[in-house]
Amino acid sequence: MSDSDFRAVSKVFSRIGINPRIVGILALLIFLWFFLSIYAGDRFYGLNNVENLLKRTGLYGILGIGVAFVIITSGIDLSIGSLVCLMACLLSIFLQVDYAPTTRAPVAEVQAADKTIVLRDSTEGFAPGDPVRFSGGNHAASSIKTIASLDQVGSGGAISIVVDTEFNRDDDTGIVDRLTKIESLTRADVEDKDGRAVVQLTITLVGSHALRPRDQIDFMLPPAADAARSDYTDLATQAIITDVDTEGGNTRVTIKSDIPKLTEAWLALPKLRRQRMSIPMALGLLLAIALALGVLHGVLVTKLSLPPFVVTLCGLLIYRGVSRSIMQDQPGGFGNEYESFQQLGAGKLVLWESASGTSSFGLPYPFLVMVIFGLTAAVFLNRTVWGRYLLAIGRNEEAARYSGINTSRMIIMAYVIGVLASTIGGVLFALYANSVPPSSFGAWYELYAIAAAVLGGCSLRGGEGSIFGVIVGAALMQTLYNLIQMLSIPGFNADQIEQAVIGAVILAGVSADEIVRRIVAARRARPIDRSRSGDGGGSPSGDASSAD
Amino acid sequence: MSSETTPLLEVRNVSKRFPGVQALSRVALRLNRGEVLAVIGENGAGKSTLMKILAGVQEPDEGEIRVGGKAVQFRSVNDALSAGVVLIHQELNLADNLDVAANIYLGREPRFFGLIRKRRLHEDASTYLELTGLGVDPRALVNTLPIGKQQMVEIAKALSANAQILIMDEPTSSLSLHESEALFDVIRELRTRGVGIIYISHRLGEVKDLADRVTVMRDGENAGDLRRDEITHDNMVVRMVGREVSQFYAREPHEPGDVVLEVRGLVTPAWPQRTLDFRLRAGEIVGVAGLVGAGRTEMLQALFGVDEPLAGDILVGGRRMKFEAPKDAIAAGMALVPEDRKRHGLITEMTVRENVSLAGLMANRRPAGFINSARETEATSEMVQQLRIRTPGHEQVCQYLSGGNQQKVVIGKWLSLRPRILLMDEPTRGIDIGAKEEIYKLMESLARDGVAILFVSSEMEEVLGMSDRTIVMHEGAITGELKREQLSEEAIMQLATGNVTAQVD
Repeated sequence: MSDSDFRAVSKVFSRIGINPRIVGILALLIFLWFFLSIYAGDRFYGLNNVENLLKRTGLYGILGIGVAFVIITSGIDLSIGSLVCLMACLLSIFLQVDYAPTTRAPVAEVQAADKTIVLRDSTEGFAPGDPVRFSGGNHAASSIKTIASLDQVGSGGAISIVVDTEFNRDDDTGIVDRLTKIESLTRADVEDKDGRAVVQLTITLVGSHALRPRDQIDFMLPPAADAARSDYTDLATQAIITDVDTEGGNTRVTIKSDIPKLTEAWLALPKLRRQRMSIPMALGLLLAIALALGVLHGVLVTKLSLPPFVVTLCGLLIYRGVSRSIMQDQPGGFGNEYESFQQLGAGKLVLWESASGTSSFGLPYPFLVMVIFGLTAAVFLNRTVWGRYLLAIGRNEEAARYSGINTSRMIIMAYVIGVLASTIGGVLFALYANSVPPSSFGAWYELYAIAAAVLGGCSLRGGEGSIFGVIVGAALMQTLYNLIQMLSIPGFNADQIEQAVIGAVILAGVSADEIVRRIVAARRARPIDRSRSGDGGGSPSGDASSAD
Repeated sequence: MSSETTPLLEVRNVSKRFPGVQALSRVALRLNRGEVLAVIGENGAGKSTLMKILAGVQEPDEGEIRVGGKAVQFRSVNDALSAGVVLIHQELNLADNLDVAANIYLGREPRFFGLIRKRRLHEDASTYLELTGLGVDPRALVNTLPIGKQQMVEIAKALSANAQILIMDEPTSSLSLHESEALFDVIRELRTRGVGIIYISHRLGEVKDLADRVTVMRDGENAGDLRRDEITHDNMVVRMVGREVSQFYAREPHEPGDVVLEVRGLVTPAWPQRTLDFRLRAGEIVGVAGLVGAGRTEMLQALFGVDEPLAGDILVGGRRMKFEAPKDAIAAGMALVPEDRKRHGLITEMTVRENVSLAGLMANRRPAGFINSARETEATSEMVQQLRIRTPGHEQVCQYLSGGNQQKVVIGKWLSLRPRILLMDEPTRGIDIGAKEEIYKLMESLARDGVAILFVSSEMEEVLGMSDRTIVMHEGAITGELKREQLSEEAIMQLATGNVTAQVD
């Protein structure tokens, strides 16, 4: 290829955002797709696999785009994986859902001899004849009793409850929940929204209850009349209410699943759904935390002049430890809650559906989020003043400062963008996985993100980076992962060898890239010779000292 | 032994090309035994490249080098060393943390089964140190010595390597007058011992005093040789710049305007004991002369907000300013063309367009922070034309431009902002003579349009040729101010070396 051809081609490429540095990586990606079409065919191009590939590219691509901004300033962010975990844990804490019994009162004292429970303050809703669940002191199991009578205690309005059965000797303080008797119960065969046959329970509770759909109801079997005590907890069953209406003075609830043991003899414990905060508020809070952490990273790097490696390495450790600690090492998640919100991580925008409805193809939402984030990032980097400033700072921070750029502020901004991307990634990963084990969630992600950025043409020396390249880099890594899963090489376990293969390919990729870069540099250096010789009588514009 | 007519060193037809630059073309040079040959020329004339070739740092593309009549090929510094050629760099190459003797014998320590023989080392070092005539203790740590004595250590090191040909690259650029005199004594002593010395300097006065012969270089070529009796200031300058000096430095005196910059009691972090006071008027070109390390660059940096001053006032147009960063100074209408173009002036990996537009991006932005690319292209075209930047196009990456054109890009970046005060730190360092002339013309035309220019220069000719007024600095303080009619190389050197007898207006 002659020089002029080369320049013409690279001009066309660069106009659509492909600079010479990522041509190689893009070619490798296309080659792999081609190779897989021959080798794996349907398995690779199966709709599920392609969707999965897009989803994973989206999730890791977002992290890669974020770290690209930091790398462009010649920094690094090692805290990404831990941040993903921290943000996922915080999201599951912020959006945690509790179910609280409708009528519950703390116990001040148990007067076992009188079969009396003194409540701590006045609580309405208890009436003689109501069944109650008494959850006693630290060691005692809870038990179901029936209210015999109610008395006023003192002038504070507190009441004491006399119950029908004896107390255990461990019972001292505790909690009393009012239970509800079941008036009637019917089972009906219906079809769910996917057309499957299910049993629907319709239960009429005695009395009126302020229940709404999505509230929960627990069922438990009362003790046999002659037994002083019944250990019913292993029989307890729970269900989410799908529909509520009234019948006479009673509340009727519908449950879209069967509890086979359930009979009218059971007692119900209606519980109200309590959400800590709304989804927008939770996301807003996460963004605020992200902003604060990003500013913190940036300030430590710029104002305190700490090496980015050290700052974010400490971040990696701190955020992981904090995540594990606030979750007490218990996995976070959303369970069956927020199903439509969870779709943002796990769902897709359906583009095609087969006539029978059994198969469909769509763009996974994380991929769409990445496309939007990537477009914004690319426009920001290439078309705005701040993007140009970042590129300038990455090449030569001192010269940028001498040119009047507030370099500290720009670098802080890059770290904020980095943390922001980790936050978006953390939210999507959490929604996708719906299980956030704090000790391992997001581990190694920073390295995948950095690898995607480096593969995509970001120089760790700074000042160079293409958002499109980072996305290609992320896609290449996911394709490789996919490839390793499909090529079952005898003697190698795909999961075990995966990291080694990805590492080797990245090494080969960046080596090839460096070679291409040198060739490009050599070609770019040449045109000036021609212009010089064409200068004719003009004074030569070269000098020796600038060339050493 | 060689006959009387065989020169100690002979260079014939040496050429050297760097990517995009013909650094040397068919250069010749002759050095006799016991002779001091001064090699002079403007920056970028090819002196440094030639010296690096002679010292084995670089290999020539073509040409012949003969030492004592024998053709040699230096592929490394060691080749040159074994032929007796030693280059003493402008920046000294000493290991600060080692003692003098260890430096002299660095890499050649007398050894006994791998252990250094300390006593022998110190004894041997002493003999060479005595040759230099300075009482330097071989056990002294190098970083405790003043710069003049460090230079002697370099010379002793060269002598210990049995140097027959000593190349000194601007040895006095950071020496005091007294230290320079001591150095000249050593050079004269070495001359009587038959050592051939190639002496590179910008100080024509020194050259006149010291040299037996002068070789002038210009744009990578020989521009004439001067015998002892031909060495005059004018002869040298005419050959260096290639024409009459008055044409080269095109100054037309004109009335300066109002005071645009006033500095009162400014204290820079580099010289916390000194205060600086001066004024700069619109349309005035003021040179700042002084030795290397006199605090000139630090003064410009404090003025431009690069390093915040410790105390003092900067008044621009009569208003007191506080510059915490260059952006504040830029907002006040100032611009700085820094000394180190590649570190502070340019983003060398970015294009001409990106560099020229960089400082004005924010001011010209479109809503929502988008770059105004039309304005960007327009500004670049304007600067490429006005400054005659020789580039294949706006999209040329600056690192592939010559030094002169790089410097024009830096200047273009500032001119597009129309500054009122232009600070220039060694504005023509490392650029070719054509570009140099253009920059001088530009400075003149900017001054005519009312821009106040304050420029630091280590080139005597430049200061003498361009300044309406010259401020001379020594060890962080302004030791004097010279009007155009008071200007002379001697007057500047007196003030620059701390002899404060010259007058202030």
